Amino acid sequence: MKAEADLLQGTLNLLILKTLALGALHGWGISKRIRQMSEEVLQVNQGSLYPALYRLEGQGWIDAEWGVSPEGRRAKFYSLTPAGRKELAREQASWSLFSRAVDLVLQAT
Amino acid sequence: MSLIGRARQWLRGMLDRDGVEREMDEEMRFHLEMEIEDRVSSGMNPAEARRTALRDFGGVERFKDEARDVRGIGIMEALGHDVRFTLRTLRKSPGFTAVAVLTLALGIGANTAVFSVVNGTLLRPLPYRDADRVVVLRELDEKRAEMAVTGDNFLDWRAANRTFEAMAVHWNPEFVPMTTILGANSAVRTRVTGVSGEFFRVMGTVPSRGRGFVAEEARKGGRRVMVVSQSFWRSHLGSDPNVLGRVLDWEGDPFEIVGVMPAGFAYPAETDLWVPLERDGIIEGRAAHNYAAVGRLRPGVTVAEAERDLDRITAALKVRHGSAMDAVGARVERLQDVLVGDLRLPLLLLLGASALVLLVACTNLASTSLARGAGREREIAIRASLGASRRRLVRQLLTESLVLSLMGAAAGLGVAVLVLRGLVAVGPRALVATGGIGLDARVLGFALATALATTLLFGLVPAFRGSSGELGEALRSGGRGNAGGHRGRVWGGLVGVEVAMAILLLVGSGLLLRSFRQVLGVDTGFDPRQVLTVDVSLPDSRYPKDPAKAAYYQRLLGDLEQIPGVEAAGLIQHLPLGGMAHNGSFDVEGRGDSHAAGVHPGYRVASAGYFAAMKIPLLRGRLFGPEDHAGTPDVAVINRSLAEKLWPGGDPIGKRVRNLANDSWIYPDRWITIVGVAGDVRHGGLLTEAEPEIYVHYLQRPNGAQSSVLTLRTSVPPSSVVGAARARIAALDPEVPAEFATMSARVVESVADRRFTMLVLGAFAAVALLLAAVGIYGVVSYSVARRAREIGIRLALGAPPGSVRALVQRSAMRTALAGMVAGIVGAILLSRLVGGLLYGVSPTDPATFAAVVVVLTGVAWLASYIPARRTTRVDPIVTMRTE
Repeated sequence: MKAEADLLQGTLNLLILKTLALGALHGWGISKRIRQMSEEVLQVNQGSLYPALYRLEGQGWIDAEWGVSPEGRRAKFYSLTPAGRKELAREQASWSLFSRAVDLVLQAT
Repeated sequence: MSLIGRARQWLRGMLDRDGVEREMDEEMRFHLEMEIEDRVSSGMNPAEARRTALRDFGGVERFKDEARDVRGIGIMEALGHDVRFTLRTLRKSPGFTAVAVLTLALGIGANTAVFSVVNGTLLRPLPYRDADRVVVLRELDEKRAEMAVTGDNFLDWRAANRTFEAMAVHWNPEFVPMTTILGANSAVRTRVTGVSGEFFRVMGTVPSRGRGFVAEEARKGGRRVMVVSQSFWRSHLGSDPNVLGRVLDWEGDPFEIVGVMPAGFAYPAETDLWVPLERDGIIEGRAAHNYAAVGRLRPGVTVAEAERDLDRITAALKVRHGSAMDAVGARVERLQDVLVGDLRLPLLLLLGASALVLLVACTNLASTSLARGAGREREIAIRASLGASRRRLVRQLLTESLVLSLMGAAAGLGVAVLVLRGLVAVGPRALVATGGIGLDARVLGFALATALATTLLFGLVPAFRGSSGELGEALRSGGRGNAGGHRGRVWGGLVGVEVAMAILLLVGSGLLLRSFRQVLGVDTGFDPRQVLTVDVSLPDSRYPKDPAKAAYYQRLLGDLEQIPGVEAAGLIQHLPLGGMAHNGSFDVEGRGDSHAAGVHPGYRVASAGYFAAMKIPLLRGRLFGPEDHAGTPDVAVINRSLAEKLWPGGDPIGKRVRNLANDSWIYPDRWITIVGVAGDVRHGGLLTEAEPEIYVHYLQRPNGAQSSVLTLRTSVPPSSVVGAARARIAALDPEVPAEFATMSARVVESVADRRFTMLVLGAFAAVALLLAAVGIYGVVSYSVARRAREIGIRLALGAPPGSVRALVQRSAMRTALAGMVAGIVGAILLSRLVGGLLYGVSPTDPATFAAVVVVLTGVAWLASYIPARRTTRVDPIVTMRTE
């Protein structure tokens, strides 16, 4: 349980940053978009999402601002900072390296 | 950037906690509502959507907690919450709280008090500048035994050493009688000490008013000046701001006050007035050991280097002076070590004992908390299932321990202040003389550290037990179950350890108690019961000549004998156990100096009434009679030891001696006839064998009679005649101050070190016993509560209440017995440590061990009986129904 959470956390940061690269979103929007983009495979637990958001905010990779949602309701919107964009590029590169390596291992029969 | 961001987040969290909380709530609500709407729009009915969304959302509180942790506000926020929660829980169980705080208070209090004493004596430097460089110097004879310092050797040391910044001599306190000072607000009986010019520099202390001695005062025939202590200035000079220049009368001479020492300076002990020693000239010679010497080491010089330096000089002097000098070497010791001296071993023992008490206290807390933790399993299980994280639960339990510890530490500090007062009150003079025993910052720090260590010791065990994986089980069993196998064993072990430590302390204090009774039971040769002693010092200005002093005493003794209830009144110059002792050899008619026979009898100036008052038996001949007075032939009474040494098997009555070393310069060549032999008296101390002694008549040889002790044997309680005696003394001369004490009190005072150690260790043992009893009580009550159902069934099936009670009690007694066996083994192993403090009792004294076992068995039985009795009050119907 604990090991899983740890693994998720690393990838969760990447997923959040990637989602926000397309534009500012509120928390629920982020979780919904991740679900949609992963074709319902990745379910983001709220218990992990918000702590991760606060952490990213603390690290200066994302900004938070209160705004109005398309439905006309007050919501907190998160957007990528320039530093976050660099971080995304970095994490994306290392993820590609990692997944390619895993693929190579799995395909070597 | 990241750091700044974090800091900003944290700062906001700190400053605007409510705002942050509100935002978080709003965000969560928004999320939940969006989720519900989403589910409704995908075809779910609203109620179902809400239900499933909430379910999937998980414990809201829990992840808000985590979010708070990330935001950094978690810690402070949660701490405040935990503390509030703790206080609420503690209020709900006042019994547990009281026991825990009291246990801690006793443990921490005893520790802090003892540590304060150890700190004030062993650890903290004396209140002098660079006190670790102040040393005491002594000469050594060929047997390497210590001797006081001679004038000429001191002068050579001072001239030739390479390791000292300064050196000084002062009068040896053993030879300085109390004296009466006139010219202060009233006549004062105190001690004057002559010190050489460098003395105050050596001690690293300058007068807080005025100055020390200057060169033209510290020389032969210099001006008569005096430095007074702070306490003398306050009590006897009314804190007079214009004290400098005031004149005090000492031995009939006027001395001008030139300085007031700062508070806390009291060296040598009990000295209130310092005068330049060089005024009378330093006594010459290399065999007259008249002085105590102190020195200040140069910076960076060790004690060993200084000792080698003086040793070398002394050895060279010995080669040059041969038989005219008896010293062959020198010893250098730190002043602090000298002052603490014999107290080191008892203090370390007490430190060990207080550590044991603290350990017992912690064990008790651990077991109490364990019991409490067990009782709260259900509560904790429920909170865990509601989503409280394990970390949070552990933190909650730790907070509880911490709050308890701090409360205990606060209460303990109060206890410490009281205990410390008691310690100083019963403590031997040497303890008080080092000055500055009080609670200070270091001691406070120690108390807090103990409290924190205690928290960790007893807080962690239940914290991890309480939150480990047994939650589900706890819920299922409904927090009841039976004796609780593993935990019961751990707990039993803890109580066993307590009992073992209580045994250690009880055996130790039992041995000391028996030793103390043995010491007090020693045959001293006199009977201290029903004796009042009166210390009197005659001011020289009013009684300048010895015969005038003798006449005063003769009249006073006559007056005191008139007091109803006084059976006999006598006079002696140096009372046994009084710390003062003069001795010296004399010429025996037809045989020469007794020095040749190795006999240096104690020299006592006394009256006939002294023997009657102290009930010292006359073995042969007669005491002083009315026919003996100034002008008649001198007579003396000797003690049995002297008679046996000089006239073994013969009759000393009628033999004559003269030229006693102690008064030959006043009464040269005057023969003394021995008229009686009296019983031996232990003069030096209860455990010091009697030495040869010669008593001369105070009317015939009133040498140095200015300071004497009057002894009154009374038929009524001795302290009840103090008022009458004081009135008679004042009526005779109001300018003569007197101090009263009973002889029994002086006997006890002479063994104050022992009494101190015994009392403190005894108190510790009592505390440990009490704590062990509380521990046993706790285990049994807990087990009764846990086994209520089992007991109910047994009773319902017809078991007699007595047998059920015995069943419960039996396991507690088994634990106590195991602890006792362990404790006794430990006590036997450790008994050698106290061996040095024992007298007339073997470290493995069977009687002491037996008594301790009986006491502990009784206490254990009682402590388990009281809660076990509750089993008989268990109502089978009620217990069964609660299931």
